[in-house]
Amino acid sequence: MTNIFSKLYNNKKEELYFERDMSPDKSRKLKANIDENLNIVQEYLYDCDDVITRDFYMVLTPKHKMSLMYIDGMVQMTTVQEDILKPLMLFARQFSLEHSVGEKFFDMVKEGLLTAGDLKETDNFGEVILGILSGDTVLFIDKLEKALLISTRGWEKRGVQEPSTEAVIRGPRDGFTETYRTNVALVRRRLKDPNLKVKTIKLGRHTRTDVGIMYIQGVAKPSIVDEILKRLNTIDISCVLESGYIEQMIEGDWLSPFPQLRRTERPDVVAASLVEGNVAILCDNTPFALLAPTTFLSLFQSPEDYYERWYIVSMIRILRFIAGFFALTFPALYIAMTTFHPGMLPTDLALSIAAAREGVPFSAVLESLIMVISLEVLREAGVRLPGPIGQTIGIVGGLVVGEAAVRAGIVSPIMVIVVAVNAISSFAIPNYSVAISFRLLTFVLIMLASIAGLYGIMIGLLGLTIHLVTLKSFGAHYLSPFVSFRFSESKDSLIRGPLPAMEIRPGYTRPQDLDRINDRRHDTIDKAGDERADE
Amino acid sequence: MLTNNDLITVPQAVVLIILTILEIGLLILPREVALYANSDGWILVIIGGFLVFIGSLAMSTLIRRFPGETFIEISSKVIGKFFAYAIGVVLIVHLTLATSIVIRTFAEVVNAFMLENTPREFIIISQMLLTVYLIRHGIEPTARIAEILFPILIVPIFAMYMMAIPKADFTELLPVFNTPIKSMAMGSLNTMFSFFGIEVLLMLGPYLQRPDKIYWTMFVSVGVATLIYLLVVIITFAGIGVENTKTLIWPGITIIRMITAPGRIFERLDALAMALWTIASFTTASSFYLTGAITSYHLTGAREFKFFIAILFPWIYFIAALPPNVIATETLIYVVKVVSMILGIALPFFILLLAIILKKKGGTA
Repeated sequence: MTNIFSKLYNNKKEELYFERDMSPDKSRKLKANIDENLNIVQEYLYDCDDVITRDFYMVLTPKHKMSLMYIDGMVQMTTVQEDILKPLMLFARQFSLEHSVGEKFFDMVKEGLLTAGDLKETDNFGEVILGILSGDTVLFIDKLEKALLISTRGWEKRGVQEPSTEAVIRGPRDGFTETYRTNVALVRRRLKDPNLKVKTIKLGRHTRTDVGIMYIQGVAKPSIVDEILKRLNTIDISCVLESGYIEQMIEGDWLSPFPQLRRTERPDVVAASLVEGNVAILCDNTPFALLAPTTFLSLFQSPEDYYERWYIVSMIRILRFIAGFFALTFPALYIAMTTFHPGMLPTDLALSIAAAREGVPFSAVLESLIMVISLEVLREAGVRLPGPIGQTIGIVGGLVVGEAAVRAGIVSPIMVIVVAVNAISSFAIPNYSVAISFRLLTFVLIMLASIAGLYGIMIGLLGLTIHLVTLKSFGAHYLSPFVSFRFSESKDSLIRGPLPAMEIRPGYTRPQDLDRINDRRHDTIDKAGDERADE
Repeated sequence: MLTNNDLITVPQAVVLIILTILEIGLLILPREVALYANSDGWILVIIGGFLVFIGSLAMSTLIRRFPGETFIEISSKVIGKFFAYAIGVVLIVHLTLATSIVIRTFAEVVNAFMLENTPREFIIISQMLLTVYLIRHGIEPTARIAEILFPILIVPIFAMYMMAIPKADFTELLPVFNTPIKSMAMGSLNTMFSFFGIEVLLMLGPYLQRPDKIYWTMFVSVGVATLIYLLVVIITFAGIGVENTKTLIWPGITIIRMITAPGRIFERLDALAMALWTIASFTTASSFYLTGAITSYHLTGAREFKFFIAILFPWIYFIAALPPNVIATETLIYVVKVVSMILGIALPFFILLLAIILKKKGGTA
């Protein structure tokens, strides 16, 4: 064994068997001798105690040596026993076999004996090793330069549960799980369309994570699909443990505080977005799928927006934008109004604020910084703690400490209201990534407001607008449909129009098929606009 | 090369021109028309707007006659390279001055109505930095910003002036047609100056997506600007009286000071109006600044237009900080306004005339 070890790790020639992405060399072909094959696999999987090798003979005369290799815990043992071992060891011995050697024997085993559902041939070690590590079972047969990869993947996994981050009152309760294939199936079940395409690649040098992109051919714009595939293929990192890695590696502007891909835990959201011409990126080991391209507006939407009736949804959407505005600016506005422009406030209110602030030792800026920071700490503490304790933290922190701080005269009661409204508003934003970046920008605006009052806030908001207007997510304007505005798209913007009136799909994805409702009127709508945006 | 060198659509061009025109005019136009024509001032606005549109026809025709060509190229074809370059230099100086006075006026208004103690230099510098942050992205993003900010600016301004109606006394607008023709004529000419900013279209001509719709573009933008001016003048006259308007330096803002929002959400709206003013000033300054940089870029034939943003920056700051007081700023504004009308109306008319006489024409591209 020491010989093999030194061969693998010390001899430079032998090291070439591993490619740069840690996958074994696909050009290394299988040998005819089964023992030699097993030895080479052992070389690769040396010191991997979870790999199990099962040698057996199919027929006793002539002795046909075979060997199974798999990883304990990653295969379904019932499949291995019932569909591989049983047919080969028991059934095969009950009657005489037509062939006992060579190519025909191999085909007979493959096509006539094994009862496992999914298997494929392979002739190189690269696929063999990767198959074993992915949870497949490999069947080696003596005197053959081929092996069979039998799909037996099955491990302990979480069932399909209700997603915790995107809860809805009306709507399906199933959410993605940590298993890639389950997630793909959850989407496929909603879109029984042969044009729904799934392309899988492996990313991460160590993790070899399955990453798939899904899109509907004929709806999604091919250049966007190609662009996403291109960017995915350029990713060369050691590990991909969550779709967040992918998101951060492929987004266009990583200096931006805003996410340029939308993440969701819900298969219905993915299905709806695919139909609108988006491309979904699904990643193994995480329930979070990514959607691209994304607009600022879609981050303020909840799947329920399309299930409820349009009056209610329109009202809720407008409320969300108001909440977003307060989440961004409320403490800054308070500082500006009290410090720089007290004349703006009604006299009674100005007086009561002044009375409440009497005895508070800090300036309004410092006061709001103290409160906003302590609220962030509370939120973070509440997230990390287990459920019941997290709630206790909220009560103790929010009510007890807040009340005590007011009584002690450290902060004014109005400040508590301001910060509470600010925090609650930020929780009304459906997308957590945006909510958190809004809370970050709140600090910037507080600083600007403390320097130049309302003018400072305007500078901040204008700067933010410039950033948003120039930001693009995979070629789509981040602020669409407000830039290059088209009336037909306003039906799904600040308000959500009645479904029968929403005749076309949103334009930002540049869908190839614009009709949402089966009506050919819109076939040629602004083809010119399409070409323009492509350039 | 220009980055993001997309063409600007018709609505984008319209809002860009409107937002370039509306700024200083909103502040001082009521005073000027009151001085010339007393209660007939609002008629001056209509006549002035009409004259500006007529005058802009020369510029529009010139751009249509030479589609896709820059103004420098057009004028060097018609009047020769030397004069074309001289005009180019004048344009750059003018646009730099225009940017400076817009920012300077803004800083003064902010100092007067919003932040009394903030150093003017801070306001000038911060406003300039914001402008630079936008225009370094190029023409199309600037137009896109205008498209987004237009409703955000216009709707609240409209709402604010509407709030003044309950306090307004519309008999201030009487008597009508009581002004001698001579002062009407002079007043109209002077009102035209309040539309300064239309000359930016001259430089943006090659970036228009639909040069064939340029008359319509010009008609809508000048028309909307006239309507907004008209609203402001009428409400100001009715709200604070013609005689008071004459004595105020920025009557357009002063009237907002007198308004109390219904429901008493805000006691005084002037700080809020100033916040909106930031948008108006920002869009105006950025389109002048951008046009200045673009003109330099056309003139020198350089590869990168962003370079000129940096070159113009100290000059704009210097000129903006130069005038010692409001009176000096007013004088500078007047000079810029007159030059603007010469460059925006007289010069294109002259070049168009020469082009017709010399039978010079652009390609069909």
